[in-house]
Amino acid sequence: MSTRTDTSRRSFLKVGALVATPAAAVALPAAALAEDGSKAALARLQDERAIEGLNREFLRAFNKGGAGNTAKLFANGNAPDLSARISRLALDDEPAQLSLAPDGATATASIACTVETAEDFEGSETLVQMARLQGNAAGIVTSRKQLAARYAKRADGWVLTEVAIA
Amino acid sequence: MAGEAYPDLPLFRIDWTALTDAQIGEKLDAVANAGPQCASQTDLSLAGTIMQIACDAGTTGNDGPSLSYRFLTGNRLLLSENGGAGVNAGYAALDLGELTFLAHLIPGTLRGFAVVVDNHTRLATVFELWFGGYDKRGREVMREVYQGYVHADGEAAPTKRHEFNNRLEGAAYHWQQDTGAATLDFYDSIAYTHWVELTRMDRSQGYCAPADYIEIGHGKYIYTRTECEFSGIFTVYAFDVNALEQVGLRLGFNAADELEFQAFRGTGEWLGQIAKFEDFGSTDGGPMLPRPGPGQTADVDATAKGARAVYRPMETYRTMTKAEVDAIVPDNTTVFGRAVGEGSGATGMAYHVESPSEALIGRDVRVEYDDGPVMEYEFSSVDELRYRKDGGSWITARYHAWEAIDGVFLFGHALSGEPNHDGHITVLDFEEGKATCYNGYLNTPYIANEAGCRHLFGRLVADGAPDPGDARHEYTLDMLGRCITYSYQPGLTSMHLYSTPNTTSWIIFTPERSAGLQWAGSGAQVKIRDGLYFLYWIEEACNGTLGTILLNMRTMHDIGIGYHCGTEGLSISPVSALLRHAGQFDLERFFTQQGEA
Repeated sequence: MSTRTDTSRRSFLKVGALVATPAAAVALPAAALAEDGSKAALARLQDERAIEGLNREFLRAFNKGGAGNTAKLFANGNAPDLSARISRLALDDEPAQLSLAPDGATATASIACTVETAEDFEGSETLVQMARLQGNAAGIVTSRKQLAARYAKRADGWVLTEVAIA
Repeated sequence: MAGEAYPDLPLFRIDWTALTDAQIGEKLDAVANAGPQCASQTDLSLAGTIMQIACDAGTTGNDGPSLSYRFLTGNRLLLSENGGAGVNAGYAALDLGELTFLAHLIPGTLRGFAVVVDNHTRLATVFELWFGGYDKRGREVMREVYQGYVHADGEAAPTKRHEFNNRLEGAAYHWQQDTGAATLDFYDSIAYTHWVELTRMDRSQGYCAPADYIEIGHGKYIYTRTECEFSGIFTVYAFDVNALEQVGLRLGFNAADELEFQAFRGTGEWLGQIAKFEDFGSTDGGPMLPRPGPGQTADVDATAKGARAVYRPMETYRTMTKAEVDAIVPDNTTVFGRAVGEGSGATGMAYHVESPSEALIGRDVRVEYDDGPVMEYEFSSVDELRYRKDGGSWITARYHAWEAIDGVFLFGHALSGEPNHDGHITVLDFEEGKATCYNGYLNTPYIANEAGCRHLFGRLVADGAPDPGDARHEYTLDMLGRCITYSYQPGLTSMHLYSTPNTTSWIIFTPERSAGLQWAGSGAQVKIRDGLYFLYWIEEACNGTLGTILLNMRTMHDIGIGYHCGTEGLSISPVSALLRHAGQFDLERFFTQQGEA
């Protein structure tokens, strides 16, 4: 039986989770407020969806190729400094705590997650090397963590600026 | 330096020429217009037809091509890729029932295609092939695999595809080709294969290579192997497991650096089916992509075109010179240096090692090896003995012993002062008065810190041991074709395949218990009793370890001793696993003589 955790937790992907965030928790861009309330809401919704998409992309890239594989999603092109022993991430069903800056240029999110940490095999025997190469581990430890992310809005869309797991 | 096409050397000992793209291109250009050679009548019925193949993304996610073939007279074709200009090439096509196999190069390039079309379903599998894609070994044929279909005017695109899966996993076939070549092909992994050359080479050694396994349907499959780390030759064939017929292509450079570009037909024989260990009903298969992960530091990119998981043991093998070996071993020899047993902190392969036996303490033993030394032993404690060789001085050494069945022990120790740093790993058989030793040594001709192994058979002289006369433990075919899984610790299980009397291949199971990466080395199989076998293998051109095991088929448990030299020195250490018998292939008739040194 696989010890892997299902990573396709669709509820994380649901727009509803963010839309349901209390209005007070989401500051609206000032420029948008000055115009029209519905346009501001639409802009906020678009930003939220874009950030959700970015989170999905981060998750896919990480679980496929580790932190190094996520570098392209970051503003500076550098991969986040996450433990190399983390073998898999799954984000929770709970709504993300997303906060957009008043100017709409940056955002932060805090997302509950499940982290799988692989325990390395001891030794350097051929079998051990081959097992590592194909992704085997001596064991998987699953723990509950919080993923904290920061985002920045560029002309071509949202990018990550920081990801930490604590 | 190129020599014979198939010299009398194991593939891992051949000094493969580092062919340049220019050298490769020159040889491809010489044959690209003519197309593949074929000893059988090729299928020319495609002449005058057009075939348009739409491909999905490949195994690595790269966009698949759109191939538009116009088949001209004879064996000429005109290919347009992705709507580009047409290119003329020679091709060979072979039919297999409703399948059409065709292959060709693209003149002026290092590329070509092999295509399998099911004319009934219009489904196609396309192999894009090219040389020069692996910078360390340009001769190694790269491949990207695309699934797709043949376009038909007025017909909707099929929704099904040929499928990578594990349906072939655990089977083996004997193939006899029209080229005269015969092989034993083992489909013993979802991502790797093992094969034995019966005609091109001495059949003593089997080899491993990455493979593709694709199901067409109705008992028809496609298999590929790329002889990575060796010649780099690529073989692909479509086959029918019920009709036992194959059609395919062999492309690449042999040891004489001659280009082999040959389409072939073959007939087969089923050699059996061993167990699979995935969840019942699971058909998940390859290909296995390279992946980063804990402990994996190689620069890998699973999205690069042609990427696949390839075990390249020489990339991680720190080889040493004789001077380096001789300098470090005398003061850095560790014999059973770590505690063993579950929970003791032993390394991964010693997890199931039981406590050493005390039953030899106080016993005096003399072993007279045929054409070998006379060894005398006094066992003074559970881990200390005195020995002398050929009547020389007594030397105190550390040892451990395990009693596999009543009166039969496996023990090992290092020999001091030997120029090649010998170790003896010996079965003492008090019941029959016999002893058999795998004598490991270093400073072999190829790599100084790679182990060699002498096989010593002899007579055991000790209180209560009978005189065996001329009888000795003997080489056996009992293990030939068997597959035994060895579970060393949670998450670390390998399976041995004894594909020849002198070959041990090992296959590592994935977390989903599919058979995955695989490699092989030379070895021997000696029978101690019915169901009790003394085996060894050497991880040649890999990490140089001599592995030995005394395998009890009745308890499905083993005890073994490894002999290894690295930059940290020489180590002699125990291994043990819990076993399962996965099955046995029917191979004996291919090996008329029992294994020998």
